[in-house]
Order: sequence, then structure tokens, then C-alpha cells
Amino acid sequence: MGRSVRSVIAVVCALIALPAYAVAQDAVTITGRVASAEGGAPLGTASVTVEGLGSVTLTRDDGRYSLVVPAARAHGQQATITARLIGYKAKAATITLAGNVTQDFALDVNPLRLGEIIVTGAGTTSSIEKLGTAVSTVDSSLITRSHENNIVEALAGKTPGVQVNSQSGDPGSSAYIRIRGIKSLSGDAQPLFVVDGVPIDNSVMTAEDPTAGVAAPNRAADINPNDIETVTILKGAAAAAIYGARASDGVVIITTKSGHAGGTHYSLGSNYSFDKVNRKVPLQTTYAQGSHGVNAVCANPGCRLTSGSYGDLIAAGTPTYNHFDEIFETGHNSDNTLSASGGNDKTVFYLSAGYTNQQGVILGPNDTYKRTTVRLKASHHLFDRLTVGGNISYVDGRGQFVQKGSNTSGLLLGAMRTSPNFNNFPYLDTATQTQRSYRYPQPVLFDNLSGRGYDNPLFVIFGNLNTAETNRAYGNVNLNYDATDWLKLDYTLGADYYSNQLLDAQAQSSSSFASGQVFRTDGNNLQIDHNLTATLSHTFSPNFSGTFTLGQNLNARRFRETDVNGQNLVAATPFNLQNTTAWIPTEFKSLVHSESYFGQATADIYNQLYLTAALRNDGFSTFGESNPRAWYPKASAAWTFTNLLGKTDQRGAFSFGKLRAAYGETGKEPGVYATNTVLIPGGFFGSGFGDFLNATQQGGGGLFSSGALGNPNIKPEREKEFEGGADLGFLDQKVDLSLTYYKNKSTDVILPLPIPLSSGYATQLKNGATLQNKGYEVAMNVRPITRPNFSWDLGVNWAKNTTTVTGLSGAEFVSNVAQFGGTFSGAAGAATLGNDIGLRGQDFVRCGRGVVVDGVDIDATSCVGAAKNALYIDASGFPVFDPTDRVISDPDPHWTGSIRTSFHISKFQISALVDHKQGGDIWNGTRGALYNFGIHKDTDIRGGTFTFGKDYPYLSGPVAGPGAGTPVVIDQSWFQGDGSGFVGPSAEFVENGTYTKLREISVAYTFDGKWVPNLIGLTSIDLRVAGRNLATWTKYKGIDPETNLAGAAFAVQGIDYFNNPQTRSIVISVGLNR
Amino acid sequence: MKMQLKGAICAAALVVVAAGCNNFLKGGDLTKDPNNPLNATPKQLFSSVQSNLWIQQTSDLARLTSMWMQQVVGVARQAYGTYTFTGVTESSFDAEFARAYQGGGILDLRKIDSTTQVLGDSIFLGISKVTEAWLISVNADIWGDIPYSQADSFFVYPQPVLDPQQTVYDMVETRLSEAIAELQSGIGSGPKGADLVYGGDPDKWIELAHTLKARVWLHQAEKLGTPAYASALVEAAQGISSNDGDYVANFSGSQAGESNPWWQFLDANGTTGRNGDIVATNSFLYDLMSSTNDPRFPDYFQPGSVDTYDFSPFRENPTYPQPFVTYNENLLIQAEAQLQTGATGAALTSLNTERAAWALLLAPTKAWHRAYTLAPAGSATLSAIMTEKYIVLFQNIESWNDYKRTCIPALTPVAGGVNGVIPGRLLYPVGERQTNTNIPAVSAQPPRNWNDPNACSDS
Repeated sequence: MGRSVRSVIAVVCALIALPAYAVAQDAVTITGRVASAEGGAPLGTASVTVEGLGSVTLTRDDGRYSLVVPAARAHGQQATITARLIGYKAKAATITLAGNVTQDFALDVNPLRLGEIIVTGAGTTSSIEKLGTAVSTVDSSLITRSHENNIVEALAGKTPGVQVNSQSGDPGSSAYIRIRGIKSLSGDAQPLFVVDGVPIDNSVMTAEDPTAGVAAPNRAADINPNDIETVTILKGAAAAAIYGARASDGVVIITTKSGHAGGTHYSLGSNYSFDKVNRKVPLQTTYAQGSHGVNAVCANPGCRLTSGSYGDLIAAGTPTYNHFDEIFETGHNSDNTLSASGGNDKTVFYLSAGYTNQQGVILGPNDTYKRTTVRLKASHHLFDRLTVGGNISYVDGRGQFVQKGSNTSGLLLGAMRTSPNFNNFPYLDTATQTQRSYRYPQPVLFDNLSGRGYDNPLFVIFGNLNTAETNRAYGNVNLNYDATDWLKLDYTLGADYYSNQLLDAQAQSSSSFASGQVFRTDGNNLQIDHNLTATLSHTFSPNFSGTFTLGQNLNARRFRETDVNGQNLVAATPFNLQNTTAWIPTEFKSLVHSESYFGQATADIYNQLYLTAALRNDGFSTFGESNPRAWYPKASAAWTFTNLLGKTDQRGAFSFGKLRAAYGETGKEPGVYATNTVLIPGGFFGSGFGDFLNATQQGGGGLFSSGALGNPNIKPEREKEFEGGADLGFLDQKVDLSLTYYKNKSTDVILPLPIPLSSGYATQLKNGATLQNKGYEVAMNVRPITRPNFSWDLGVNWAKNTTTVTGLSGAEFVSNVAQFGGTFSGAAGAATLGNDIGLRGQDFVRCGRGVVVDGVDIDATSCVGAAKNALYIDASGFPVFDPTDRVISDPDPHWTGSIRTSFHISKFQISALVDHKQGGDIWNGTRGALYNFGIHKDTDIRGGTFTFGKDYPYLSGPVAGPGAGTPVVIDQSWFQGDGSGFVGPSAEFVENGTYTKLREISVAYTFDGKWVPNLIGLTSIDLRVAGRNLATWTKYKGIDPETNLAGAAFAVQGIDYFNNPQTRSIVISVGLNR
Repeated sequence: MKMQLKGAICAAALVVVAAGCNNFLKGGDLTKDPNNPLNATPKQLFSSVQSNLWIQQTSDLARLTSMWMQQVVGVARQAYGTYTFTGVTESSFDAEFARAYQGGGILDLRKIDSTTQVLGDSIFLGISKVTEAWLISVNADIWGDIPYSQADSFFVYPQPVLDPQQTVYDMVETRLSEAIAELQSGIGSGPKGADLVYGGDPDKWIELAHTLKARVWLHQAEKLGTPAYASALVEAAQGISSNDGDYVANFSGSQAGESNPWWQFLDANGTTGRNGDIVATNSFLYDLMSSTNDPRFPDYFQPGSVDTYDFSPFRENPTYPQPFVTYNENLLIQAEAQLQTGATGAALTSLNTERAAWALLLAPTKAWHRAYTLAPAGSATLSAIMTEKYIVLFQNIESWNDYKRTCIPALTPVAGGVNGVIPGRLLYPVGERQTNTNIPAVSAQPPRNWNDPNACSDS
């Protein structure tokens, strides 16, 4: 390929540029100590650099460092030596490189992290102070402290405007991340992930429909969080424009840990956790299996019993079972990372190995995820001005899972429907050794091929097999060439490859497929990225300097997936394809290339006004022929106005002030092959009622045109965003505050637009929708106490985003767009004009909606004087089902916030993170279904007399109508009728998902007394006890409101249908450092 | 300085090499979907068209007309709603409306046309045209004025206009005449074995085309009167001349998707879970055949049969060869046309030839009935002819057209019908109305089509 040729040329170029070798002198040793200016506490892990010579080291925990400048480079010249640490202001000193030098530093706290350099993307960096957009960086200590295996979940509550939602507590389940709202109507609407300058894949691959099947990780979870140095999040188009047509949902830039010159540093971090289900679904244990008060009794083997628990009261003394509790136990996660890092003035390295073994909370051995990671990152000064570097990560992830969700073979679906008087143990009938369940308690002999209604949850756990195996390698090689003082070249060639092998198997007698079936998925993904930048910098005068960057990016993404559904197991096991009798294969592959050029110019004026302008030009193979390329501009300004006021020392009541404003555009490429109109092989023609005819009859090989008309003119979606804000410091920077407002308009949003059926097609993909997102973000940090042995700091984040669908090309709503909303009867993900993106379904008849009941316009009659949306009660005293399809739920929160605090008391460190989500609806389909089966604790009120609008506890709010105030008997027919989630309207079970969560709380102690090195040869030992999700405060009537049925696979969140629960944990961690 | 220059040159070289790949964004798997075929042979398209035609004739529309014609009874779920009319809305039949136009319909037939024209395969072209005429005539029968002249040309006509029903029928007649001319030329090889009904035999397709032409003339007879009957008679005389020419869908039954859709809906356990939604018990047809001791009763019904819904396992079978257009229908078209043009004697001969044909043993793949000896009819009244046709066209969507024209048999609309009668058309589907500005609002749509001005009053 051309790409490898290019990299060879790069190396050759490097060799041509060989410099002459300098003449040797004596080596110079520089030693010293870095401490905090406030209180004088020693600062570990600070970097000390001799500028221009590339000599870098890190301080030890006692703040001391030692650095050797080799004789070849030291010839008595003056040099600048700088000490840097995140959260502190860098401090420089001038030394003479001769003999032995001692240089101590006292660093000032740097609340707004002014002057720190962060990666802003595609080979560009910037000092935070000069950024015209809001900055969100999360550093390694915060990530480590979260004790999450999944880096995405570790970002929860860390920065405003970034919303994280975890699928469930299952090992290896996904976490969904959304930045500043949904901006598209297709795909999963998650940001681009970039590791050390190279984009990586963060998709979710499942063997079955993601609403059923098993949990699967988002692929960014392959990263070992312990290897991460910082995460920078480019939230909006103004920041992310440099990534062009892949950045519409923002960019998460991950920088991994590097080695530093000096002694070799070893560290071993070990965590062990105790995990428990954090919230349960309340189940009744009062009434037996049966119907209308009559118990279901199994008269003969082979009996089939009713699914409901509307029998008689369970007699005192009869054992009952809690079918939720009995399938969970304490889970454990052990996580170990060993790393070694160090190097000398020419070569530095970071090497780590990590092993995470998570045993989930579901009973038995089939709920595990194990991840092994190995990482090497190294760089070497080939010559004075040329550095070569490389890094590679290898990941082996493998897990065993339990079926979940909307699935008659799902764990909680069967478990929670089981009547309280049925003992699920043993799950195999002793006489026949086949599955027994509450609906089929006594299987007849040899009946292993009929469904059980719903599966015995223990059979789901122990009888099935669901596995995943992932092998992944990603990394890059890079060259940095400081051609001159004013020209710098950077080249990165990166790759990300993984293969994923999935097996989902449902054993014989499974209710979802009684003859047994196997789903095999083999997928692999390869991404290669080439990025070349040249940066020119020039200082025109002390008051005016600037940089100019030019870059080229080439990217190739290749994806392959083969799925085979093998049906009808011959023998009970093994679960493989040759043991089945019929196969349904599906293959998919895709290839996408992009070729982009970008330029960025910056200007620093009077050290207070910083201007940036950039332009990217993208060509993607996915763009339509008439729109082969697209431009993405951005411009921003940052003005440190306190500098103008002469306040450059950041002291005083109002110590710092910066205003920023930015505008930028990003895009989202069309889905692959959207320009094609294809013929469908292996298709069929069907009615809406299950009968169908294959296009191929009697081996004839039929092909027909797809109903989806391709669009040869499709172009990328476009996001235009304005962002403005201020970063302010007060009271000698003891208080800092960042405020941001943004407004984002998405245009040319792609949607499958319905076209006349008489055209022969059903839809055509078009750039036809517009969306708007706007919001505010606030971050505030306070450091009230900063004494040497006692400090306290407090951080508050708050964000609010509003998404509005502003145009759908004339359609009122668009639902169930591919990989977007999921298909769920009665609660379908949809974009509705004038609304946020949410769920559509039905509701009860309510006032003020223009509903006509039995020919009577209720708004003109019964509803006169009633509150808007008052529940209409007909003469019988019951509410009435309204079949109109309407918006029923908005899963997006009204606002989110978090409070983080930490105390340092001597060598103790105590920290906590409280996370809050206000609003954000969840459709509690679980509760709706459990009413139907008479299992939910709420159904204990059966037989009682209640009045809607007064004392019926599960539908609140005002009522109107002829039957308002009429008491009615609430019994089985209500709970299996309009009062259930099966028959009644789905809106009845939409709940407010507000929660407050104690995400993290930890106490840590560092042992670094003399006995540590003397006794065991270590420099320090960190000990921490932490709680993860210890408390969740919510009114949500189900499992943890942080949940989603399909996890990160779909953009529309907020669906709970027998989802597996979340967990809370106690984590003990030990860190050994040397 | 020299070194710096070298560096700059190399950097430039890198950019040039990369940009030199002018095929980087185009070609191969980059722009062409590698997962699905982008081209198909006429035979591959024809196989799909055939399946699409078969499902048009045996699925939702056939269930609808059989229920409204009271040959079967909808007792549960959506079928009950259809049977009692309340469940039929503008969103009920989008898929059925689309069938004639979509892939597997005219969209793909036009691809067959252009390829076979290039190849000079007149037989294949003729067969394609017959199929197109048949598919679109069904839409004209049900929805009246429909898009046709501008249909299936999205880039030219993104919003196809409605052609008046009579114009569509005229175009259908023209299309069938063209088809007959192509087929008569005898040039080309045709679909051969891909045609699972006639094996590509042009003579059989010519006969079918004539019978379809006769059908379409009959559909206009209420409006056009005697000339339409006369035209129907001319065509039917050249129509299907023996049971060997019957158009009978033959299902292998080897898997669900190759099984008779009536069976899939009525009987298939587990596949659809719809068994019991439609039953035969005491339908008008059931009672009629039972009360007249019609010998054919066991082919249709079997009280207390295994499925308990009183259908006969002979027809409710995965491999039952479903008749769409038959020699028997052609004879009854002749009988009706002869009667209406005053040839009473010829009409009786046609009727009794049809009744006698029931004694014939049919080839196994076309055995849509078993052999029964029927007594000859004494006289050829319209009632006798149309009642016989009502029986013959069990489960056939053509029976609705016969009823709309002749009001025979005298059905009492279930649950009072819609405004007292059995509806004469369906509403344009919502999927078409919302996307095509030429479709009138529900309230502005006519209750009946042009060819059917008079409703059958309650008997």
C-alpha cells in the first residue's frame, strides 16, 4: 500500500537530515527539590526539564529529583530548567551547565491550569491560557480514583456537559457518552476517540439484537485506565473543527503515560472490590400463582400453568422465595497493573501490564469479564533534532455473559415473573433432568424441545453459554523533527486492529427458541491513520508572536463481520454450528477512506489576546459524487483582560479574568454506501402478520430492488456552533470559575425520508433534518484551606443542554432510524418536530389534547375547568386508553451536576464525588410487565377500592370526566388490562429518572516513612479504601436509573425492560511504588 | 541551513506522495456496496416478481376480500377488526398498495424489460408485460384512480399523479395487447424454469393475457355496459382453454417461506401464532355449500377438523396449489358475458362446461381441487353463474370485483358494514398520502371507484 511506502520515505528523510556530532565534555548533574509554594509540601511526579536538551525527569514522592546532562551536551552554557506539575504553575530558572548544580523550586498552585499545554487535536497543542473554548481535561488521579474498568464510565461526573450512562453492572457492559446533546439522527451519536493522536474504534458489537442477547462492551473499554495520563474532551464544533467530518459529537483525546528520564520507576497497583446489586425491584410474596384468586395446581406431569400470580393468599408457613435476591451474590473485581518507566536523556519508556478479572454479581461462573493489557511506549532521540517514538497496546478481553432484557430466555424476565411460591431450585427436574420452570413445573420425559413459557433463571445462568473473545492491538510510530528553531515536523502513523468472536447459545428447551440455537459472530476492524503536520512559529516582537500549522491526514477503516445463526441443536451440546440443522448467515464488510488537509494559525498579542483560526478540508469515500469535499472552519479569541489591567501576578480579590469566544463547524460523514441502491439477496415478501414468501422459491435464486433508494448526492451533516464564556479567578486564585454558553445548529442531518410508495421505493436518505442544541456549563473550584498538613478543596460542575428537533423535511416525526432508537413496541425511539429526541408511544386520554371519546369532544365538555393533561375518567371510574401515537418520554436530563471534594490531612487523603442528574425520563417497562403478572410489590393492593386522582397510588395528578371521584375495585383485570404495561399505554410507566449518586468516596494513606525503603526497599506505599456508587437517591421505582436496555448501541437512552441491575462496590487498593 | 532545506524538501515529498494516490477515495469497496448485488439477471428478478405476485394474491388482500365476501370469518385480534371493518384504516394496507410498484413489482419488471429488449428476448418481455398489467390492475380495482403513468420514475416524477381508473384499465389492456404480440413472435428463450407455473410457455401466457383482458373488461362493465361484456367475450374466447393453462401458484412447502400463505396464517403453529384469528365456521360460503349439499364442500371445509376452525386440510396445507386465474374462471367469464349480451344458450353451455370440468383429474402440481361430479345447471341465470363463480373463487381477491359489479351473492354486511354496505374501495395508504401531494385527504376521497358507482344495498 501507498501508506507504508510513505512511512519508509519519512524514515529515509530523517536519515538524510543527520546532524554532525558534538564534541564531548564532562557530564553535569542537577539535583534539587520541588515543593508547593503554599505550605511547602513536597510535590511528587513533577517533571523537571532542561529546555532545548530534551533532558527530563520526574520528582520522587519526597519532591527530590536528580538529572544528568551528558557530557556531550554540557559545555558550560546557560540553560533554562523548568519544573512542571498539573495543577501548578510551571516555574523556570536559569542555570549554568557546569559542575554539579542544585536547583530547588517552589511551585504556585495554578487553579485554572494556566500555561499548561494540552493536545487540541490532529497534531496541534495549545497552552490552556490561550484557548478560546472551554477546556475539559481529566487527569490520571481522577480516573484511578473512580475504580472503573471502563474509561468511559470513569468520566462520569468529571466535567460539565459530558453525560455518561452505564448499561448495567454486568461485567464487560457498555457505557454511553454524549457531549452537549444529540446532533444527529443516525448512528450512536458518540464522540470520536483518539489515543495518542490516532483515532480508535468505540463501537459495540453484539451477536443478537442489542435489546436482548447479552451485554457487550464499547470498545474504548479495551483501554487500561491505569495507562492514561490525561483525557481532554473537545466538546463542541468550535474546539473539534480540526477533526472535520468525524467530530460532530465531539472528540475524546486520550494521552497515555510516558516515561521520563531518570531512575526507573516501578509501580504496582492492585484493587480488589466487593460488588453488590445496588437497587432491587420490589416483588410481592403474598399471593400464589394462579388467576382470579384460584391457585394454579399442577395435576399431572406436562401441565402448563398460568403465567400470573393472581392466586389465593399464600398460606402461613408455606415457603416463599424472593426471585430477585436468589440469583445474585457478591461479585468481585481484581485489577492489577504493574508498570515500569524511566529512561535516560536519549531514550524514555513506559511499560505496563494489566490484568482485570471481574466476577459479576450474578450467581455462578458465567458472569465474568477478564481483560489483559500490555503496553509499551517509548521514544528515542535519534539525533539532536529528531525523535522517533512508538507505542503499542495489546489487549485480550474475554468474558462469559448471561442473557438479559427483552427476551423470554433473559435472566430477570423469567426470574421476576416467577411466582413467589415456586422454588426455582433445582432448575433441572430430578426425574427427567430437563428444565423445570414455574409455568412448566413437571416436564414429561424426553420433552427437551418445548419452550417453558419463560425460562427458569437458573437455567438461563447455568444452561446457556454466551462468550466473547476480543484481541486487539493499537498503537503508532511517530517522528518529531525540529528542523529549525521555527519549523517543527510531526508525523504519526497509527493502527487499530481488533478481532471479536462472539457466541450466544440458547440451550434446548429455551423459551426463546425451544429447539436450541447458536449465534456466532466473527468481526474484525482495522483502522490506519496517517497524520503529518508542519508547524512554523515566529516571534515578531515581544508583543506579537504566532504559529502556523499545516497538516495532512489520511485514514482508512476496514470492517468485516460474519454472523451465522445456527438453529435446532442436534445434541444438547456442544454449542457450535455443526451441531445445528439450519443456518442463517449474514455477512457485512465496509471500507472507508478519507483524505484531509488542515491549517491553523495562532497569534499572541501583548500576552493577553490570543487568536486562533483553522480550516479543514475533508474528502471522504462516503460523500456523494456531487459533494466530494467539505470545508470546516473555526475561529476563536481568548482575552486575558486582567493582564490589560496590569494584574499579571494573579493576586488579589479578583485575581484573573479571561473572556473567550469561538465559532466552529464540524461534520458527520454519511453512513457507508448510502449512495448505493442495492438489490436484496435472500429476501422475502411478507405481510404484517407473519406470513411471507421468499424471493427464492424452489432454488430459483430471486433478487429484488431494496426499498431504500440511495442518494448519489449525499453530503456530510454539518454542525455550526458558537461558544462563549469566561474563566475567572478570585481571592489569590483560591476560587476559580468557568462559565460557558454554547449554541449548536445541526443542518443537513441525514434521515431516511419517506417517498411515495408509487415511486417503487419507501425511503431515500436525504440531508433533510435540522437540530438545535444549546446550553450552559459552569465549573467552579474552591480551595478554602491550603496548609501544609491540611488542605481542602471543592469542585462543582453544572450543565444544562436543550435539544430541539427544528426540521424533518416536512415529516412530523421520524422513528426507529437504524442503530438509533431501537425497536420496542409502544416505546420507540424517535425524533419529533419541536421536541427533544425521545420515546413515542401511547397515553391515557387526557384533557387539553383535543381527544374525542365516544363522539364527545372532552375538551368542550368534561375537561372544562380541569387542569391541562388532567386524566380523563369515564363513567365506570377508570381512565381510558388513547391510541394516538405521541411523545411520551424525554430521556435527556434537564440538567446535570456534580460536587467533588477532597481533604488532605497529613498523609491521609479523603475524597468524594456526588453526581446528580435532574430529570431525564425512563420507561420502566419492567414494572409495567410485572403488574401484568401480579408479581410487582405494587400489586399487593389488589382487591382494594381506590379512586383515581385521589388514592390510587400509581397514577397521580388531577382528574376530570364523568367518572371522576368514582371509587373502583383495583384487581387482576385492571392490572392485566389498562393498568399493565402489556395492554395499557406505555406512558403509564414513564418515570422521572432523577438521581443523586455518591459515585466515589475514598480514604487513602501514603506510607513513606524511613521504614518503607529500609524494610522493603520501596519508596512509598499507597493504601486506599474506596466506595463506588455506595448510595443512590432516586424516586425511580426500579433498578438503578442509570441504565439502558441496549447500552451504548443506540443513541436513544432511557429504556428499562428487565435490564440487569447496577452494582455498588467497596474497593481496597494498594499501590507499591519504587 | 543545508540540513533544514533537506528536511523541508522531504516534508514536501511526503505530501506529494500521499496526494498522488488519486484513487484513494474512489472505486472498489470504497464506493460500491460489496455486501449486496447491484445488478441482476432477468431470471433472478423474475423469481422475485413471481413471489411478490403470489403474496399479493394470497396474503392480506386475499384475507380481506375473503372476509368481506364472507367466505371466512375473522374472529380475533386484527382479523376481527378487518372482518367488522373497524380495523381497516388508511394505515392498514401500505404494503399491499406498494407491492405493484416496489422491487419485485414494476420497478424490477422495468429492469427485465430493458434487458430483454436489448437481448431481443420477446417471450421474456411479453411475460414481464403480462405480469405488470396484472399487478397494477389489482391496484386499480381496489384504489380506483392510482399512479401509473408516472410511477416508478422517481428522478423524473418524484410525485406521481393519479391516473383515472379508466385510463389505467386502458393502459392495462394496451400492455396486455403488447405482451400478446411479443409472445406471439416466438423469439427468445423466456424465463424457462424460473417460471414455476408455466415453465415460460408463451402459449400459456398468451391465454392468461386474454383471460386477464377479459377480467379487466368485466371490471368496467357496470360503467360501460354491453360493449364491455362484448369485449370480455372476445378476449375470454381466446383465454385459458383447459385446466392445463390454469395459473396456479405451486408451493414446495419445504420451509415456511415456500409454504402457502393461507396455511401460514391459518394453521402454522408457532411461525405466526395467528391460528384461530380467522375461522371458516358458519361463513356465508360455508352455510351456502352446506345447505346445498355442494359436493365440493370437503375440499373447502371440514367441521371439527384437526385445527378446530373447520377448514379442510385439503386446502389448508403448506403445499396447496393456490389457483389465481383458471380455466373455470374463464368459462364463467364467458357465461356472464354471453348472458349479458343475450346469448343465453351459450351461457348455459359455458356454465355447465365449467361444472363438468370439476370432474377432471388435475395434474398433481396443479391439483387445486379434487374430482367431483356436479349436476348440470338447469338454466343460466346471472345468480346461478355468479354464485358458482363465488364458490370457485374461494380465497381469490377477484371475488370482491364480481360482488361489486353484480351484488351476488346477496351478502348482509357484517355489523352493519360501513354506512350500511360493504366498502367498494380502500383508502389510499397513509404512506402514499403523506409523501405524494397528489393524493387527496381522507375526507376528500370518494367512497367508491369510477367502475363501481352503485353500492350493493342490504338484501
